[in-house]
Amino acid sequence: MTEHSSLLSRTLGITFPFIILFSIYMILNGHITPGGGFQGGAVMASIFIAKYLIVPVKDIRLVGVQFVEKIALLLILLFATAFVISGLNIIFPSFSQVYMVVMNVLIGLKVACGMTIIFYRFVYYESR
Amino acid sequence: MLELTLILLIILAIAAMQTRSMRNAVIYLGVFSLAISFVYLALNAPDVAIAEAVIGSTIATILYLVALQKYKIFTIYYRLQDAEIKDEHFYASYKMQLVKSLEKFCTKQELEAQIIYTHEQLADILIKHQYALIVEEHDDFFSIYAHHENYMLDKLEVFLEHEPPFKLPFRIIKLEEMESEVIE
Amino acid sequence: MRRKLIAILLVGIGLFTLVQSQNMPAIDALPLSAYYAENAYPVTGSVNVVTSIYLFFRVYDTLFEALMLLFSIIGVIYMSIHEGETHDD
Repeated sequence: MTEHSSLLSRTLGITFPFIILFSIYMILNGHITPGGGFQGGAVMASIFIAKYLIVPVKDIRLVGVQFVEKIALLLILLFATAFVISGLNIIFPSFSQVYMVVMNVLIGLKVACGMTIIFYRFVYYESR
Repeated sequence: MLELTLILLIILAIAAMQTRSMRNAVIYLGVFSLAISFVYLALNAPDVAIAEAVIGSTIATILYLVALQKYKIFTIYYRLQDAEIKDEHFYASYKMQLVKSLEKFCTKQELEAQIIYTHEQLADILIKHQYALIVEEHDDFFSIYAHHENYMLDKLEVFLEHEPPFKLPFRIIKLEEMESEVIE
Repeated sequence: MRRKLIAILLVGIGLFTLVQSQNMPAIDALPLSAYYAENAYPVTGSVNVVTSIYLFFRVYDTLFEALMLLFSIIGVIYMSIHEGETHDD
């Protein structure tokens, strides 16, 4: 996609902050309203995809994104297993809400990074 | 309202299968995802509806479109005038200049040129095969046949005019749907 | 040696999971969906039942789902390095 339309870039430029706000809202309120980590992360990944439609320039470092993704997976594994095994939810029932918010944030981060990696890999590294 | 959307889903699915152009099929699938996310919402499953709307309607559609942009085969049938293909000297002759510049055009448009040399009659090619361009050589000129909805045709015309001139002139003939019988 | 260590680690994880599954409270209510719909808020404190299921009742499922995403990304990276021209920066 060498030629890009000014109509598309103007429209996406206006809706850009709303998409970001919507995704953050969806992740943080996953335990109260519909939505959650996976959906919010996918919305957040669609920001980068929209950015590709506006300016098709690769200016994010994929290695950094991969690092963030791996760290997020490690934290998810550690946090979830620690929470379930230690039985904190029985001792402090109010703690489980905090657990859900943290897990939603981690899952959202991981899904956003993963989808961004898949899309950018596909777009910029796949020759032909 | 729910029943109407379900009927719309069936119509969209059939349309996505029956359409001729890949691009239209991708757009139909995007609309299908949007409609089915509405159905999920009507059935009290907002989580699934959000996931379907984001993944199916946005990300998958854009991925399909980029894939179509990246991988397109531009099929060119080159109809030889003589009854048999000559030796490799033939490929070096000046008539190949047109084929070379067509390949150059395809590379510039990020298409993959697939050139098929054939002796079949023009009407047979039109009926039997999927083609993007048909090049027919004559003694003193080339004729390039293409479907009139081929959106690459204007770019091709401009490109061929700006190329170094050929020894033989060429003309571009746009085919209507019905004209395949007329040529016979 | 490294393979044996990995095998020992995997067997350890399996045994640990078995032991843990013995300690889990059994749910006797037969329609499981009704149990989740009733007990989602009192047990986990989350209004959204879907979130309470995938983050609490079925948390191991979520963990391995996250692992699946990582595997698919590994596959994409592996394929595109071999297709593309050079290694990434």
